[in-house]
Amino acid sequence: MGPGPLAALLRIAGSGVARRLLHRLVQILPTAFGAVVIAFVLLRVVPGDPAAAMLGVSATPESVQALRAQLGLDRPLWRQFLEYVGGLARLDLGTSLAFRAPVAQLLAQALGPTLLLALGGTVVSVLIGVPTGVVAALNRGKPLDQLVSILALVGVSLPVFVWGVVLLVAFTLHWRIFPASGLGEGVGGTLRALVLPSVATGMFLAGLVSRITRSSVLGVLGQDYVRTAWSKGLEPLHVFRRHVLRNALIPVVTVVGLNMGTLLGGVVVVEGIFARPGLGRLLLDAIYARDYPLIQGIVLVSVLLTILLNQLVDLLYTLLDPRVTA
Amino acid sequence: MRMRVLVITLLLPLVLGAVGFGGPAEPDTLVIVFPSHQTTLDGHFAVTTQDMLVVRNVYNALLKYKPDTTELTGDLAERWEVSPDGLVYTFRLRRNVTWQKGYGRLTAQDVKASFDRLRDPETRSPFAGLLSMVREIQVLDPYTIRFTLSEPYAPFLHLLTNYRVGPVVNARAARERGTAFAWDPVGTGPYEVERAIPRTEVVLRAFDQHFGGRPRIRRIITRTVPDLNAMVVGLENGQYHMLYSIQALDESVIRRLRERGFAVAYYSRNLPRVLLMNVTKKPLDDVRVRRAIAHAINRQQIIALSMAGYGRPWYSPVPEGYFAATPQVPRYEYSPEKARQLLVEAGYRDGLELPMQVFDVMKVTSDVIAEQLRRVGIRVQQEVLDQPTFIQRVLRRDGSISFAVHCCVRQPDPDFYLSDIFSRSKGGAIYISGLDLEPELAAARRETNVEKRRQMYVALQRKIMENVWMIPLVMEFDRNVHVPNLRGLPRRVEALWGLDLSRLSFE
Amino acid sequence: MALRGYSGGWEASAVRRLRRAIRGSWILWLASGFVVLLVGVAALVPYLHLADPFAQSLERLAPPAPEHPFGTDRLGRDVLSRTVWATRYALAVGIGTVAVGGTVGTVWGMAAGFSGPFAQEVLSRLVDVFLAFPPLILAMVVVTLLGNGVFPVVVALSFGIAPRFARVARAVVLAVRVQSYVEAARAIGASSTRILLRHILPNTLDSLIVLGTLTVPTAILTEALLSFLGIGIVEPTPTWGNIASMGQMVLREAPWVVLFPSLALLCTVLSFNLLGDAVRDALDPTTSRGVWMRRTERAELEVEPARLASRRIPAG
Repeated sequence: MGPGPLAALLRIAGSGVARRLLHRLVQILPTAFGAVVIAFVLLRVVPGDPAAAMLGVSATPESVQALRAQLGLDRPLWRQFLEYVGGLARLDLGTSLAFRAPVAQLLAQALGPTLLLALGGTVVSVLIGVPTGVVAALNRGKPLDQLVSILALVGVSLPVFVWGVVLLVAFTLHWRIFPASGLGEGVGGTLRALVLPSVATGMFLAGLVSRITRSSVLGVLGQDYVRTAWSKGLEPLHVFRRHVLRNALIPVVTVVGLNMGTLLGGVVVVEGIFARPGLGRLLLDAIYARDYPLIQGIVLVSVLLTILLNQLVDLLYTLLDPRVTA
Repeated sequence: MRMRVLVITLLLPLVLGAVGFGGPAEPDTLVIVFPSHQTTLDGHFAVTTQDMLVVRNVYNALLKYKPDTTELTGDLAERWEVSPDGLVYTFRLRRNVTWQKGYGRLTAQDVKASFDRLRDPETRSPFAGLLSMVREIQVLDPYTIRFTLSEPYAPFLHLLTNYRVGPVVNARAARERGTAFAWDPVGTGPYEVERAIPRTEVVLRAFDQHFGGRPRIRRIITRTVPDLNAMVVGLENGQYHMLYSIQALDESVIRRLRERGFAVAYYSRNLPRVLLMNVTKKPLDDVRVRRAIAHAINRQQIIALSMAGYGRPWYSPVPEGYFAATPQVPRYEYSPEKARQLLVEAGYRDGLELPMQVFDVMKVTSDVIAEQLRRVGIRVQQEVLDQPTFIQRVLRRDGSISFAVHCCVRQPDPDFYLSDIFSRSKGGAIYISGLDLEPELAAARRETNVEKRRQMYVALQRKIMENVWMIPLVMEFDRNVHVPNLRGLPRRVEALWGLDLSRLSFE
Repeated sequence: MALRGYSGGWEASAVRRLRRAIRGSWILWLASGFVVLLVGVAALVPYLHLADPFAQSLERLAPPAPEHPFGTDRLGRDVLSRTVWATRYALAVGIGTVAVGGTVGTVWGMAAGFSGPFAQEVLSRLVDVFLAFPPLILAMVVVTLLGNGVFPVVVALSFGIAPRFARVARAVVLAVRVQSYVEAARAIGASSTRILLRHILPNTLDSLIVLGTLTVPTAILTEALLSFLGIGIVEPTPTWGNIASMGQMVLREAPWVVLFPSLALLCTVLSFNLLGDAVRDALDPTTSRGVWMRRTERAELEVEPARLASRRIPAG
């Protein structure tokens, strides 16, 4: 990364990138607002009633009516919408219907575990995907290439709810290395509890990282400057590290970054299997309860995070690859 | 190397900033897990069995059921009298009841305040309507409270148990805490809420000033673990002590856990599974079709395939364990031949198509029944609906729910249950029948003579079964898998949702 | 750098290249053989004399034995029969999603690429919104509105797929529409529709075929995840996803219930992915099209199929 981080920072400040970033941040708002409006409308179109959801088989027409009144669902839709948007303007996300707690509090509780898992999953996917991708590229067309490509794909090709459980049984019961579920306590406990879910999450991303690495390395290997370096008889490992890997990893960074955004949206199944109360589980619970304010809050947060991350990745891309003009 | 540094620097701040829960339990702690989550700990709003697990132990009610029976006994009330006309109920309260969290002694005024809070339209408790027959609540002295009804209501005492309207909550604390009361409640029960993280866990600690004495288990953690495998693994490696009310656990899993030395507590919750149908709509308006369905049902197979073997066939409209329950009703034994013959008589030589609305938690039972019906030529088209949709559509009463497997827990008096199914005005989320038996039900509800009342329900049950207005299927047992040294779980019956945790102990 | 408009023959050469690629690799041989097998099985399943896939019995979770080669599930149904029948639904979901999501997305993307700056901005922003929107909500909305069948699941999956096709189609259109032959066609007064159909659509086909091949396994896998969450295709209709997700609860007691549908899933997804890669190598939309592209659009074409193959929906 050439001149070092300080120079890169200076470049950001100097070259109008900062202005561009600001411009982009401003653009995010209408997109996020659009998403919230879509969510608001969609949720009201979907059958099912939050009050009926909460009361279940003990519901009666009167009790549902009473509860709807208590939850403020009996007011006209446009008023509910205006009030919601008004709340948003004051940074108030409202109160969850199903959990009787502020949406912001529930989101804050769920965001930590999810961010950790997204990060952990990304790290695992890079640890598996980059080496396999490089090996595949260096052996292009040979059996090893195909073998590695297939192995990298296996993680993608099996449902995560199957080998999530295999991991669980193997490492928490058979070898008792990791706790079965929950978030763990303290730094050590949190990390230990993070390992298995991260592996489960990372394995299905590994296939992607591996492919991108492979094609990217192949692309760089074909470049003139690499050929020149080879032909000059430079030490192969040096050429590989200095020229190939560095350039080949640029698209990898992009893809990894973009996919972290998706992970933030919630890794429902992994969170379920390892009992991590993250964003994905929260969304599932909220959907099942038709918890309108909570669903809207989750939509808002995940859309914001996703777009923000995409923009950051774009920015990183322009920084890493001087040839690109955004 | 650089990679490792990068990873660590990336991870560290997040790790440090993360909230941690869980971890291994201390010896005096019981960890109970279940797949769904609590929605509130406010006794006047609590609905689910997970909510009730806490509510039952944080609050007391005037009355309770004797352990392992459906017989009423005093809880906060020491004794009570009912006037001969069935209108006036007078309760004498215990004198040694202390509120949790420093709210002082409980008096009759507090009990009245709890009921007032529930009935206050401002509170908007969904259960306020259940007390519509109460005309007046009077405090006669600090330890005497009187309820006067506007009309006789035979099942009234059952309402005063620790369920829906019964939990005596501290109205002052509820007012002071506002919405926070939902997760930081104040009652008089054997356990108080130490910490609650919505949809993750609730930590209870023993409340030593409880009038029943010091609870033996000092700390109880209830935790949500959505995946069954994770739950079982956690039990096996010692993280958890009890899997609470796990109806989805397969028979093979339970068997293996038993073989590994874990115990299974199973008991009736007076929980029936029934086939409900709209008998005013084609083709179910034809009694021959309904009889055919009744003959096509193989109850033993339902129990074996969809309830892990934990259930008992049941044939009467009033669930086993309820007042006036009787096996003496017309029965339709399992006989596919008779079923086919009845269909032919009804004019369905080539069988018939029958839409079925599946309440998602009833999916497996519905699958079994659909297949049993297919064997006799009734082709069932399942429409799977989640709870919010299913209940909404039942309450809309547009006939769009016309044939469904259902179940529900009520207090063990037939009025709650039968009215829900057959009374147009009182029916709720299980009113599918399209019938109106309200006159008969109202008469039985007002009857103060116990024996006469029993006869009325027995006659009504016969009538229902002659016409096959519903098809009772099985009484399902609750099952809990727990560590072998845990004692005090019900063995026969538990009349309400939740469990009395103060009866539990480690050996 | 041959710049060209529509010319017949490119498909033929692509097929030739693909055939050559397959011939050269035994793995691709296997993969394409497996896909052919799947199609054959799906077509012929009623004639295979399998056990009734719906018949229940008290012999639940029986291990594999001659009368039930793959064992039985928790309702005592024959797992072999259910796994084989599920082939039909797997292909229906996979191909249906390509058809619905692919068509909608392509039209969307081409409209975005071909329209004026304002409409382009709106349509592109809409792609962003849909890509960032939690896919679980869209799936839930569709399934609660339309029910738990094959068609609703296809529609639900298409919501996740369409924006991806839109992105790719837009990238190609943006690249192609500034090419000289398009400018020339415009200069001689060709209508927009004609330009779109004659010059732009053929140029997008390579990318879309690649994307389509990779969408099939993504859709099948995603259906499995939806089944696990209770919003996929529901029993008694057999799908690999719902057989495996029901079996997951008894994974340790009766592993065969999970094993066989998972193997079917694994082979199918692997085969389609490997074929997708081969198609991509054969067609290589970013190089062989001979179309000059900005680097961002090239990146889109490179990244999008790979992202799709990693099954981004709905949050595995």
